[in-house]
Amino acid sequence: MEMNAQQLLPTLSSGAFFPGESWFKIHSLLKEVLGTLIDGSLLPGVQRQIYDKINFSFLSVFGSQKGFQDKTKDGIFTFVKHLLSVPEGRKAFSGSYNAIGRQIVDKYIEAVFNDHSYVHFELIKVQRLKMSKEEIQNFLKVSLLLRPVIYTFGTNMHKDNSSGIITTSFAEKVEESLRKEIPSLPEALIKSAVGSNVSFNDHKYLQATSRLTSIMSSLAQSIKSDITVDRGASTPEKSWFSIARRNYKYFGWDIKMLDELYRFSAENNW
Amino acid sequence: MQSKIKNWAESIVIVAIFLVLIQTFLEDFAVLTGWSWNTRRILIFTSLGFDLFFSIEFLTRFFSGMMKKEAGRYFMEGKGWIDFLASIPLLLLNSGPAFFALITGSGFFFGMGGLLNILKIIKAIRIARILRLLRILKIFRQIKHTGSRMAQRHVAKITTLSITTFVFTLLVFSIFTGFVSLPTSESKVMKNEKAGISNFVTNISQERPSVAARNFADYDSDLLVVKQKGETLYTRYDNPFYSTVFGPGDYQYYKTADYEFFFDTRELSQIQALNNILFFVIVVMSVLVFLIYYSPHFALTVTDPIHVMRRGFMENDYNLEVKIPELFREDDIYQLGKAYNEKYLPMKVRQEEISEGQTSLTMDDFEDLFK
Repeated sequence: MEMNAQQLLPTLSSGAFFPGESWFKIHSLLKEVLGTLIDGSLLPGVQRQIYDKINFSFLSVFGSQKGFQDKTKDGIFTFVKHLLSVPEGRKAFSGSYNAIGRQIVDKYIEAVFNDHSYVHFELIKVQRLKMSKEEIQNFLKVSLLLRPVIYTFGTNMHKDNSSGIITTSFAEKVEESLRKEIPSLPEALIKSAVGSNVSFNDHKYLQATSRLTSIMSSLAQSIKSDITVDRGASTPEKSWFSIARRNYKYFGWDIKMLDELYRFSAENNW
Repeated sequence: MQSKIKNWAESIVIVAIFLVLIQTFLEDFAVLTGWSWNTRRILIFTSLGFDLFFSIEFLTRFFSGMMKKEAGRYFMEGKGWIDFLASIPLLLLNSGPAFFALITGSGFFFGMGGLLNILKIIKAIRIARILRLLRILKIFRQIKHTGSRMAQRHVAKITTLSITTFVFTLLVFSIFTGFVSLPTSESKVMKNEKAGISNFVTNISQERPSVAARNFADYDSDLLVVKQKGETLYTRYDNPFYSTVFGPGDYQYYKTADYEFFFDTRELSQIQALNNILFFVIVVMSVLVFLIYYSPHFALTVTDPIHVMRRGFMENDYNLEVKIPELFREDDIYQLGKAYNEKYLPMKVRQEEISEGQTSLTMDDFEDLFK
C-alpha cells in the first residue's frame, strides 16, 4: 500500500471509499482492518500450536513441573499476542510461525538425527541437551516463538547492522525482561530465543539451538510456500542455504551449520 | 471475426499437413507392397489435391503479404520459400504431369515424341518428389515445442538448415545423376532389355515368331507382352490382371520394326519407393530428434538459466539459484549463472535486508482491485 500510495489515493479518497480523507488516515484505517482480519486467522493457529501441537513435556528436563508447563503456555500465548501488536515484531514473527507450520524444524532435526554430524554434536555434546529428537524439535519451536522478543523493546538502536543482529549487552537486557515476563521459562529457552538474534561471529559460545533458531526463522521468512520452481532453478531451500552460506558473516550465522543444512536440502530436494 | 476465420484456416492447414505426410508415405508404401492400380490411382488424385491446396495456401499468403507490403518478409523470414518449394514446383513437376498422364492416357506422351520424353518426365517427377519432404518443416513451424521464443527460433533454424541441406543435396544429386550417363540399376536393366530385343529381332527368321517370343520370355522374366503388327505373340498374364495391377509407370515400352515389347518395371519402382521411404524416415526422424532431444537440450542449457536469472533480476522476492549441471559447468551461460548465484543473489539478499524487503507487487498485479 505504501509503495503504491500515489496510485491508490485518488480512488480510495473518492466518494465510493473514504471521501476527502488524507492518505495517512486511509492507510491507518486499512492497516487496522487488515491486521484484525489477519489476526482472526493467525491467532487461532498460534493457539493451536501452543496448546495442542507443541509438546511442552521437554520442560521437565529443566525441572519444570506439569503446572508450570500450563503457565508457560499461557505466558507464551500472551507474549505472542503482545508481539503481534508491534509492527516489527509482527513481521519477524512470520519467520517463526512459518518455520513451525511448514515443518521446517521437524524435517531438518530429523535429518540432523539421522546424520549424526556437526549439528547433532553441537546439540548433544556441546550444548549438552539430554533430550530426544522430538523434545529438541519442540524446544526449537518454542525458541522460535520467542525469538522476536527483541522487537517488544524497540530494537533499532541496538542493532549492529541492518541484518537484525543485536548487541550482546542488549540481548542481556532482553533476557532479563523476558525472565520477568514469563517466570516459568527455563533459562536455556530464554538464552536460546534471545541469543538467536546475536551474531555467532561475535559470540562463538552461542548455543546451538540459538544458531538453529536464527537460521530456521530466516529461512522460513524468506521462502514462499507457493513459489513456482522454474525448470533450471534450484529448489527454494537449497537456494536459500546456498545464498546464506555466502552471507553468513553479514547475518551472523554458523557456516558449518549452514553447510550441513544445505547438504540436507540438496540431498532431499527441499 | 477475421481472426476466427484465420484460426480456422490455420487449423485446416495443420490437418492438411498431417494428412499429406501420411499420403506421401502411403504413395511409396503402395508401390513397395504392390497395392492395386486403382488404389494407387486414388493416391495420385489426392496428391494433386494436396499440391493444389498448398499452392493456393502459398499464393494466398504471398498475395496477402503483398497487400501489406510484407511479401519479402513472408518469403524469407516467414519461411514462405518452404511453402513455395513444397507446393508450386510439385504441382507443376510431380502431381500435375502424373494426373495429366492419367487422364489423357499413354497416347499423350507418345504424341509428344515417344520414349525419350516419357523418361524425362518420369525423372523430373521423381526428382521433384524429393521436395515433398520439405513439408515436414511446415508442421514443425506450427508446433510450440517450448515456451521460449528464442528456443523455438533457434531449434527451427537448425532443423530447417539440416532438412533443407539434406533435401537439396538429394535434389542436386538426382538432377546430376539424371542428366549424366552413370551406370544405375535402371540403365543396366534397360541395356539388358535392348540387348534381348536386338537378339530377338536378329534370330526371328530362324524360328516361328510366337516360339521366339516365348523363348525370349523364358530368358527375361520381366518381359510381359510381345506384339507383331498389333497382334499379340506372347503375354505373361491375362488382360484383367494387367488392368488391375499395372499402372502407366509400371512397364517399359519398346518398338522395333513390326514388333512391340512391354517389360515389367515394378521392381525398379519398388527400389525407388524404398529409397523414398528411407529419405522420408530420415527427415521425419531428424525432425523428431530435434523436437524431442535437441529442443529440451537447448532449453535446459540456454533458455532455462536465462529465464531464472531474468526473474531474479526483475522480481524482488525471486531468489532461486540457477541449477548448474556438472556436465555443462564450463559453458558461458553457466559461468554467468555461477556469477549470478555467487555474487548477485547474496548481494541482492543483503540489499533487500537493508531496504526491509520491498515487495515486487505493483498496481498491475491488482487490475481488478476496485472493479
